[in-house]
Amino acid sequence: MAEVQLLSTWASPFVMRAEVALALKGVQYEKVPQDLGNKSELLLKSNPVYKKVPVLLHNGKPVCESSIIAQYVDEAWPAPKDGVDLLPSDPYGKAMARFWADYVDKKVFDGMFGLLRSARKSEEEKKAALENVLSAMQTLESALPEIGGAGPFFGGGSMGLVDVMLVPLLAWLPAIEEVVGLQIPFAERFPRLEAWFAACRGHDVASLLPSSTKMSEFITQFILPRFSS
Amino acid sequence: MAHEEVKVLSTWLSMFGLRVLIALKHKGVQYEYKEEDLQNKSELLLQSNPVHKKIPVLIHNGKPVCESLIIVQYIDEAWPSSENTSILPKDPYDRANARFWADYIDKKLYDAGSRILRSAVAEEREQAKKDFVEVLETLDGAFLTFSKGGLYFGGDDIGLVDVALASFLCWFKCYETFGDFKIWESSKCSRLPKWAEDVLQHASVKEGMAIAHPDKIVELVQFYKKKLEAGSK
Repeated sequence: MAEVQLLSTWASPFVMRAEVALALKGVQYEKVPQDLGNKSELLLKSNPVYKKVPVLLHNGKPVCESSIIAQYVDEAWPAPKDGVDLLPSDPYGKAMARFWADYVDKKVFDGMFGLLRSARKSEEEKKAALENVLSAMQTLESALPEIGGAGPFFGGGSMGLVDVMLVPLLAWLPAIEEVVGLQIPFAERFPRLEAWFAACRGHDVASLLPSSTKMSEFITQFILPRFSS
Repeated sequence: MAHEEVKVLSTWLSMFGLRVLIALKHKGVQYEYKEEDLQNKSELLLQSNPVHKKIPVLIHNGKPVCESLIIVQYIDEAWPSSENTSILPKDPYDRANARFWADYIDKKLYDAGSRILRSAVAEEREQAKKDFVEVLETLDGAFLTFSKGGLYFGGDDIGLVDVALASFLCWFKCYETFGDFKIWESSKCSRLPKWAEDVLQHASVKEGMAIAHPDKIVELVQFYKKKLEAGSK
């Protein structure tokens, strides 16, 4: 058994966060893909409360919830030779990073999935969902220079916890925009976020994420049918 | 130590705010408490938490920290102390476990409790009660692995999960009144009832929760419910 295993699925944005965190810390791990339609004993045993992925298994001991996994990876492999620290060292910096990580998890992701769910709804509902996303993006746009300084990342010159939480948007957001038929005007309204996306695309971790084409296909095939119009 | 200014913006009945007070008492930090009127939020609150405009907010030397569990971790890290007042354990795995269960409480307990109070339909209220009890039973199951023989989730002293959960205890009378049930008796919890007794006796919890009287909470919720009902007639 590998020392570090990740119970995963290729499409889950929450799994993507865990993979990016592990990559940033230079931690070797074994991916153990899961079939969520037929959950394995291992998954049910490792995450009895939520029965979801990702689950990190470190020497067999499970850690669940993507944000908790990211912080665990950061603390279990401190000051790595081949990696970065995901949180700053001062308590206030840590609190700020955790606050924005929580904001991304709640408001940004909620907004994004809300936009996706509006795909089969009226134009009015789509517009309302888009407004939600725009509002969250505006807030993030202002937060970037506050905690990331000159950036390009929320973590500053290198990716940190907030970037880990947000980066699955690289794969998911263009796919959602395509499926819903709406575009978020990053270049015009959110230039720091536009620069953030560009920096993420140029980063090594980008290769860990599925293409947005693959995401569009997945969303169209498996997710949209679940929403009645 | 240099002069430190610590302010807490909260309301006396917010279980989220109480977590912050328990943590500050536990670390022996002096603070100034400011009661907020949520119908008329102060400039300071709006400035300090422009994103959510919610309490609690901790302001440390003018710098605000928001979200109760984030504040509790901040308090633990900004005022580092000896083994016996550490709120989070040292070991990364134990820390992950503590965060998981504190997050679980946040995700599940507040919602179920609110639904007990808000439900107009009996069926909804019964479901809410069932959900509420299930959450406690799950926590009861986790308690054994956590406490390692000690009185608390944190072991021999209170930790993050104790702080996260204890703050709900002052609301239990309210849930029981409006749900017309006895929480512990309706549950299969074998460890939590004793934990509740012990944790409420802990000095940091007693002092931190001193402002939240269970009877006053019941009164206030009764008052708001009557107001709502009168308004909808």
